[in-house]
Amino acid sequence: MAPAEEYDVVIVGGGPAGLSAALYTARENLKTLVLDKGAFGGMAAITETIDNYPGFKNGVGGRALIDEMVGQAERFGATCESFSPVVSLQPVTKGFVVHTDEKEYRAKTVLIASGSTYRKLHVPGEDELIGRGIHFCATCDAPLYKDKHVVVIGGGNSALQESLFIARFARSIDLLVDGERFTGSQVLQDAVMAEKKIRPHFHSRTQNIQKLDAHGPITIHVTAKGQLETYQTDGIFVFIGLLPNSDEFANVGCDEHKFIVSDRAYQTNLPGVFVAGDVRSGSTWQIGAAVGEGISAALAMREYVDRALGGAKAVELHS
Amino acid sequence: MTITIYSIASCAACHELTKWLDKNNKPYQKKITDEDPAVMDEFMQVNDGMIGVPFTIIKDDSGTETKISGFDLATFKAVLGL
Repeated sequence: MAPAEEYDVVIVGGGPAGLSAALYTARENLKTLVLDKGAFGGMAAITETIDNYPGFKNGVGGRALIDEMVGQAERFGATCESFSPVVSLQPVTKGFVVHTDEKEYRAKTVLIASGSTYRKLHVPGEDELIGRGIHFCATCDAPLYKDKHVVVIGGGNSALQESLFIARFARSIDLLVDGERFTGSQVLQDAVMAEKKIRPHFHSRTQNIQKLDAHGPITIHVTAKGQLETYQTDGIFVFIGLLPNSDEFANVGCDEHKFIVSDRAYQTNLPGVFVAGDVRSGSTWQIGAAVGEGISAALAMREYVDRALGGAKAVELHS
Repeated sequence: MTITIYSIASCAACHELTKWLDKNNKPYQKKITDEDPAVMDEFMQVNDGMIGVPFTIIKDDSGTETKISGFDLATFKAVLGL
């Protein structure tokens, strides 16, 4: 493995929180690296239209917003590496070593902004059909279901917003909600109820999923108020909540749901390691909030470098 | 060797895949499924039931086809010998 490259700030995760932090630290002349396990933007990048991010009266495409954020961070000197999954974070003297699957980096301070991923159903048949009829990203895959029937599972903001997006393509949608009502915002509820293509079904819990033929329909068995019901569909989209991407950070303190705990300055239990965005315990899972958290964490990181490390440059990190 | 990528217009991972192939000087043909019903039909016939993009078919000089659903960097590196 090549010698470790040295940075003042390594940011794990290239979504709104990480890219906002990178803009601020790079602009403060801190040598900054952003690593993302996949394409930049995380969940924001796969959102077709973002209507609740300030500054865009007609909304903004998630991909376009992220492209601007990457370009803005790079303009101030941040290095942004996509498809560079971080596998471990180790404290060393005066800093940290961040390992990806191919390289290692030294950093004075680290921001974890690794975001979250969609929660799976964990029912029989699901794993075998992921990518073969079960999907977690409407922006990615809904256009493949033009004039077809789709089932959406979930009742929160994501399920409602994505159902409305899928309705642009699909012939009809059965929306299966576990509880007795939607939990998403009233604005989205009203829009879903006004969309004729969407049929909501409450008290509907998925039990198992089957697909007997690669090109055939999918069968979903659902219990609804104790009765077994069956749906035949061309595709299923699942939006039932989020899981934090925190498994790689075993030595950082988490809450009972594995979201990373921080103090008011966004610092974790490891001095010098900060956290922002969806992966943080207490996050509101909003893009605007993630941006704010990333900026606040960046300011705290700058102060940490100045106070705890006396403003030492990245090249002085040798332990 | 030929590389054919089935995509949709808004696919972020497809965009990253083509950027990565460009960076590694690997020419490819990109087919946008949601802009042409004939391409969508073709995609549904060749995808072996894997409904998702990017969907890539890599045909080596002997004619052997490798089909890859999604953009997993390690898989592409292994198949392309990078």
